[in-house]
Amino acid sequence: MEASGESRLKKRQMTLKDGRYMIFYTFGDGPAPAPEHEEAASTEPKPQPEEKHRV
Amino acid sequence: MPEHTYDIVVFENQFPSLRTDPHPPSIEGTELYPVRPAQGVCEVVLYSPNHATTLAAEPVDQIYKLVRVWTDRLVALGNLDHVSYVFEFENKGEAIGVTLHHPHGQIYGYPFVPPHIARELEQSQTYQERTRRCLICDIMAQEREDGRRIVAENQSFLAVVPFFARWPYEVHIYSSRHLQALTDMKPVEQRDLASMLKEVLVAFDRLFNISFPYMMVLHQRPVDGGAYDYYHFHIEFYPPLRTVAKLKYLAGSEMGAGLFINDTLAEAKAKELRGHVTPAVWKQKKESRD
Repeated sequence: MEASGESRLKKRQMTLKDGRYMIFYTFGDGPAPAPEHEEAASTEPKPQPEEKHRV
Repeated sequence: MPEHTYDIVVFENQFPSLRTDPHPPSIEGTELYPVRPAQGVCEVVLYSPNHATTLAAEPVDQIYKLVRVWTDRLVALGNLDHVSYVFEFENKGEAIGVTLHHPHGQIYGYPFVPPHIARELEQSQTYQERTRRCLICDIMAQEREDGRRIVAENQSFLAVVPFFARWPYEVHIYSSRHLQALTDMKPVEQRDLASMLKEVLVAFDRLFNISFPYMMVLHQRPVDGGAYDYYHFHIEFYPPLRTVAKLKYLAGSEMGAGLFINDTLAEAKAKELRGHVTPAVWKQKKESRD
């Protein structure tokens, strides 16, 4: 849980044409802005990593 | 990259050394030379939308955002079954061979604990078993008592030129509290880390009034599910410059014998750096300390 006053971390993930992922991090109160060049937005949900252990 | 649509962006390296779905090895292995697919993760972290900046030039608030992104990536990659160690680092400057000038670092997810970290873990564990104390906690106690090798200090971190420095301006940043990873830190500690990084990086640049080249590496516990309570989080800087015009080369003794030759005194170099440290100034008011 973030401390009061901490700017919120927001992430937006996209998939590039070659299959690589790209994650945009923004900090603040507003919603994460959409990237201008969303190439080949994936229609397949990215496989979720299995919960392994405490990091 | 589109401007002003992100604070920090992370993406998979286009030419990765490690891949989640790697190609088969290019050569067959033997009993003497076993091979395995290069499975892992290679990410690039762009520190800012500003192409022309450096981490040292960024506001401490931006460095704090980087600390939080590092933490988020540590969790994300640490939860991957095929990753045993998350290595967050930066190579900066043409002297290190960096050609991409947009300020950036990298994150590797190794499928095993790399040798240097494995050695640190081994030594830390051995020391604790022998003394019942943490090696880096004892190092910090000695450095605080001595004082001559301290570069900067705040409530949560200590920066020193280590007694055993291999590079003339090598700097280590140790967490004052005994912890093993970014994920163990309280928000105030992560903000103090951002302050410390800002102060050290600016001091580097002021040494010779140049954008100072360095390798910066984060040493944290492995993410393979093992118990590493004896280990201690720290960051190491390896700047290759001896003077503004001379590089420290890794030559015969270093590469052939594993012995670094350093003809400078850590105390003298720490004094030089200390003279260039000024307190980090936050744009946003910091939270009151816990």
